[in-house]
Amino acid sequence: MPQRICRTQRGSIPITMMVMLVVTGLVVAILATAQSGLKLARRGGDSANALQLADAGINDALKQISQTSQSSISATTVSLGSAGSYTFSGSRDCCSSIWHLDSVGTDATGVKRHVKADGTTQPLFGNALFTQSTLKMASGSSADSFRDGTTTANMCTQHGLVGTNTPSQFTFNSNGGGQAISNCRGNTYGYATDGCISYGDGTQALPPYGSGACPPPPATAKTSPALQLPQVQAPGITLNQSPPVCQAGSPIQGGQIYYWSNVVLRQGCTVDTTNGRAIIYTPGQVEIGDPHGNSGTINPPPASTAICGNTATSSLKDVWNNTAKFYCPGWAANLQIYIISGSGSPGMLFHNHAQFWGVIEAPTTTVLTDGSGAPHVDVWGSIVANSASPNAQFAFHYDDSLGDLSGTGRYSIANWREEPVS
Amino acid sequence: MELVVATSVLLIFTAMALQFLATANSDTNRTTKDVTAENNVRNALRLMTEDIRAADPISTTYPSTSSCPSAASYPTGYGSCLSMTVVHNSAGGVTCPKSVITYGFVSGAIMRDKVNYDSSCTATTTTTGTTVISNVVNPSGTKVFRFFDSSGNEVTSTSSSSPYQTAASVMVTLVVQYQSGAPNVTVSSTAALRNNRS
Repeated sequence: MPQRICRTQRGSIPITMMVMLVVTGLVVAILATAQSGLKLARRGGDSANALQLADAGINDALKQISQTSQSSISATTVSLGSAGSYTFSGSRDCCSSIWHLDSVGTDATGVKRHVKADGTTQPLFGNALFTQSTLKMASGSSADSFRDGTTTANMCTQHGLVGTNTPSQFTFNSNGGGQAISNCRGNTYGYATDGCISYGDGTQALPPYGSGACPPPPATAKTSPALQLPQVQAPGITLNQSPPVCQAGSPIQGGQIYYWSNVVLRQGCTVDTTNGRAIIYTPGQVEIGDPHGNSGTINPPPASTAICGNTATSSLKDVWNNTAKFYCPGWAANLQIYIISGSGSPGMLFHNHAQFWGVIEAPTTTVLTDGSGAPHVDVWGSIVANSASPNAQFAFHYDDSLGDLSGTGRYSIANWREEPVS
Repeated sequence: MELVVATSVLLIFTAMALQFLATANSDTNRTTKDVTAENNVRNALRLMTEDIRAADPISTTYPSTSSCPSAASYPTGYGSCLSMTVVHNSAGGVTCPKSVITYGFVSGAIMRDKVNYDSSCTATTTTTGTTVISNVVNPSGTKVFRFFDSSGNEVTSTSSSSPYQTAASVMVTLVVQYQSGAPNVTVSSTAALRNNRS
């Protein structure tokens, strides 16, 4: 019996082995295919994670550039543990208030993606006049712009913009009758400014346009987002309770930051720029001009080709018969006045016929004049304030170079794009 | 006798195994084609969404190229033709160097044009009619490109291109036929337009 059993089982093992071999081969092949597909799918997910990490790096860089005074951010790696990491860096553009940002996101599995973007900020002094709320342009007001005073074209670059966050409270001629006067384009132009802008979330109205007001679109437009003026904080120096009056023979020395209880700039006031610009902070009133008679010039540009180039020797005149020497490029940036937030109104007062060169930021203050009608105020520079309700007409001459002077400090993303991982 | 039985059993088993192998092979082939198609779609979507994500801006002028359906125009043509600018390492806020990239759905394929411009805004290289993926069979009701605003509402304007240019995201949908008689592969991917974030 044992011998019969042995014969009937002979040959079973090889057959079984062959069957198992074939089945195992099939299983292995199926597993390999499945694993390959799984790996591919997983890599797709890892790649998406890496992109999210790279984008997080751009957002982190955006936060950093609003807090630094340097011109670059060195490569910084942030680890998020098992989620991966990102490395970002940034450099300020040589020619404008733009940052170039770079970020590489690395997933936990090592998959990398590379993103570049630009951080852009709205210029603080990007308009001839900007208000966050009420903006009343008195009869005869105007806004034009200049590059320099060497040609009539350069004295009329068509960037004389008036902007507001509240177009519903933007009015012309509310304090007097008649139409706005023409600006540097001549009397046939028919509009008060080169253009107007309303800032907001995109649903805001256009500024008022038509004869004697803003020119029609596209010169008048709306843009997003709203222009939020940065709050002005007191500088870390002692408040001067008895500040000097700047007037003829008593210039302000540049290269310094001042903290004055109030600012009084009379006729003949100048800034000595030998050591740089003068920057004045104040919680009080800024008074520009003389309360009696014509105010004359306050911080006029010097007749120096070293400072103003060929503008200093120009013999041209603008349509108001002002000398082209007044159109000195960049000069307005030498006198910067910041009215500290919460100072209230009236914080900024212009007297009759004041001719002023400078820039003023006053996020909680109103721009006023004590005259009315024709005694107009000329401003070569830019004013950004909470509101403006002047009685007298203003003639703003915006200096094109002021757009790059300072930003609002609120950066947003532009030119976001993916680049190959190097 | 035993040999006959053993051989018969082996033959039966072999026949079954061959049938199994034939079926498995057919399934594997179909699966392989399916997987390949999915991978091709995934790669195409990756390329397309990478470009779309960086759009700055989406063009409102319908491109004159054979890569997009002819006799069409914006805004109705946005569903099957999307042209955009991607700005590269610009300095001082200028808009060059840049690439102008166009994707279109024509003749059962997604085509791509790309024109590169240098920092002087002069065209340097031009590639036209590159096939990104073929065998695309999107039915007329399934647009390749769908646009959504920041609230997630689909942009459907037939009168203005502006809402398409300011869209917050673009959904790309590709329906690909990888084998006749087999179900089509449908893959979608949504790209948030990073330069349209406010």
